[in-house]
Amino acid sequence: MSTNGFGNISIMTRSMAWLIVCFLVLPITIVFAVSVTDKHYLSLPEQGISFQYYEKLFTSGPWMTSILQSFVIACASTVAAVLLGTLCAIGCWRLGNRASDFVRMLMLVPIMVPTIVYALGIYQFWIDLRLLDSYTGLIIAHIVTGLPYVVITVSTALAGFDPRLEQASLSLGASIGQTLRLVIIPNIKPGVISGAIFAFIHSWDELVLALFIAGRAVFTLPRRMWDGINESLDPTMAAVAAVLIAITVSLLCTDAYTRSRRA
Amino acid sequence: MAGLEISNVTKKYANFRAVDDVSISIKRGEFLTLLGPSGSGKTTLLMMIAGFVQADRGDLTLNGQTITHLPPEARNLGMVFQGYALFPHLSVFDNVAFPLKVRKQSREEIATKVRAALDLVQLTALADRLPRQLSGGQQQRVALARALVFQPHLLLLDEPLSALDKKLRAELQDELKRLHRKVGLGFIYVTHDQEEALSMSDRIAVMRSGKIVEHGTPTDLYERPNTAFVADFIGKSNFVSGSVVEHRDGGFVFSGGGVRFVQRTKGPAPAIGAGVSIALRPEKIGVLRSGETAENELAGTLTEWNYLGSEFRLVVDAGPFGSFSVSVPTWQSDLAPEIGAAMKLGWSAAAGMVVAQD
Ligand SMILES: Nc1ncnc2c1ncn2[C@@H]1O[C@H](COP(=O)(O)OP(=O)(O)OP(=O)(O)O)[C@@H](O)[C@H]1O
Ligand SMILES: [Mg+2]
Repeated sequence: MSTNGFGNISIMTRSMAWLIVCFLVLPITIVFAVSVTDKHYLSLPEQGISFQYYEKLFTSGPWMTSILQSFVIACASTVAAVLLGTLCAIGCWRLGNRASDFVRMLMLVPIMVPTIVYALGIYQFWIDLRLLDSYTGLIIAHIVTGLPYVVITVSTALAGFDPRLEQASLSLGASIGQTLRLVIIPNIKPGVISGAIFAFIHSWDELVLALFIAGRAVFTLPRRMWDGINESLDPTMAAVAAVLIAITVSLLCTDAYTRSRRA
Repeated sequence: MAGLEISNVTKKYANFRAVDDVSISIKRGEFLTLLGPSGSGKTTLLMMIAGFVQADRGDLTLNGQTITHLPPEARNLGMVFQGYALFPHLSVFDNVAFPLKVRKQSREEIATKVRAALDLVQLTALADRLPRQLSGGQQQRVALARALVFQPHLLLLDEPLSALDKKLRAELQDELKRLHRKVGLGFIYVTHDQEEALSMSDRIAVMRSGKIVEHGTPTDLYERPNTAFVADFIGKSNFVSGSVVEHRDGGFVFSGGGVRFVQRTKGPAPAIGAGVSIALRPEKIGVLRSGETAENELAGTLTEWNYLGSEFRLVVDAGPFGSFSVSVPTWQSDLAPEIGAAMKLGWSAAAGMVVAQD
């Protein structure tokens, strides 16, 4: 036991920190534990570990369809959000005036407005545009709400980009397109990748929009989980959650890895 | 005409003229330095030549063709930036190959030219390194190779050596001069270091508040400056002023503060009664021993001295004439300076330089 006061403080802050970590991580670990239960209802395993619910998940038609749908929607909306968000961030950066600050602020609106309000608005629109319950409809909604993540991460990357590199490229005879492709994009790649990962995760576990503007033909994974929880407390849910978490965590690890390689 | 001609260019920021009605030309193969204090508009002028800043007025003509409104990528001018601006994600080889790649040259052509450019700056061995694995001096050389490899019409350099320590600077100055002779291109070199400007340039243009105050060869500007600003900015100068009282053969006499001074001139002497200023280099003023005389003499007291090995640097208070800075070579002097000692300064009629006051 340390005798000086500072030692005690550091022990206290440390235990606090660990407490918070447990608070954040324990619910997640419980999901993993429940997913391998040997019982017929949501509970911790008692006699032994069983992977029956994973088997059920990967052989069940509806679950697999939802996973596939979610994956397609997440990929499509990520690609579009990354393209548009990157170009928007670069455009604002190049202009560098008040109007561009305003545009950047505007891009954050989908994060600032509560999703449910946003979803209501989009619902109204989609009725008129006949986009309800369609891939296109949900993809567009996810593009719009995923855009802010890309704009933020790419703008952050651009803040650290030396504008003289752009001038150097132009002075060496590269066109603006070549400069974008050969100099700017490679140097802000970590920001673009982060943006892509966040946009993907955003679409992958988005529920509110999926509830409002889809429901029959398009039935995403979070949507099916929501219904599953409401109707039956089948442990398959825990297996789905575990898969979902595993994918998200591996994406975040990829993000951390690309950042650390850059540094 | 082969070369760059700058006519009456002006750049305003709000109501402030960063570059104000500048005209100058540079011939092919010439080494022109833009010299001036911080904020005098050197970078702005260079950026206008490169095409990154649009001139509000005036014209730029390169080899007989107007380039005033061409975008930077169409001007074919090499540029070395302050801080080098090497592409951090590309190797040395790929950095140098960049201007050739965007010009869609063939692989073999690129390889040959890049090798030649790296040879020129003696960096062939480091072709595979990334910029962050190079020293400051080596990065500087890569930036040079990259700016020269595509055979630009002209090379623009903005304080390329300012980030380096003194010894490396001197080394790279020599190398730049050697490179300049070898490639035979026009160089426009920006610096605020007057020694660098004197030692490297064919011609120096001195800038102040957006204007070119004077331009000429280093010896012109050092030995025959026309303005007090240039006399003081390039090397140090002491100033003596007064009004002309008498004309003499090849010169004139002026009087200031109750003392008469003689001054030789090459051109016509100023009119009797006209105000006149002369600039005196510290090394052209001597400390007179007792009994010694000079054409011009001034009494004062020593207020400060420094021993610099090869010379004594003295500061002498000459009453109404202000402080004089004097340098005396140690090898020809038995000087034992003592603060507060009375001193007699002397200089010949040919030592002073008549300058316009501003
Ligand atoms: N984009 C700009 N907007 C407003 N003022 C500017 C801008 N760029 C330069 N200036 C002003 O123009 C003047 C000249 O600037 P410039 O950079 O050309 O000076 P410089 O001679 O290169 O100085 P230094 O030796 O410090 O690099 C400065 O007073 C500067 O504040
Ligand atoms: Mg400058």
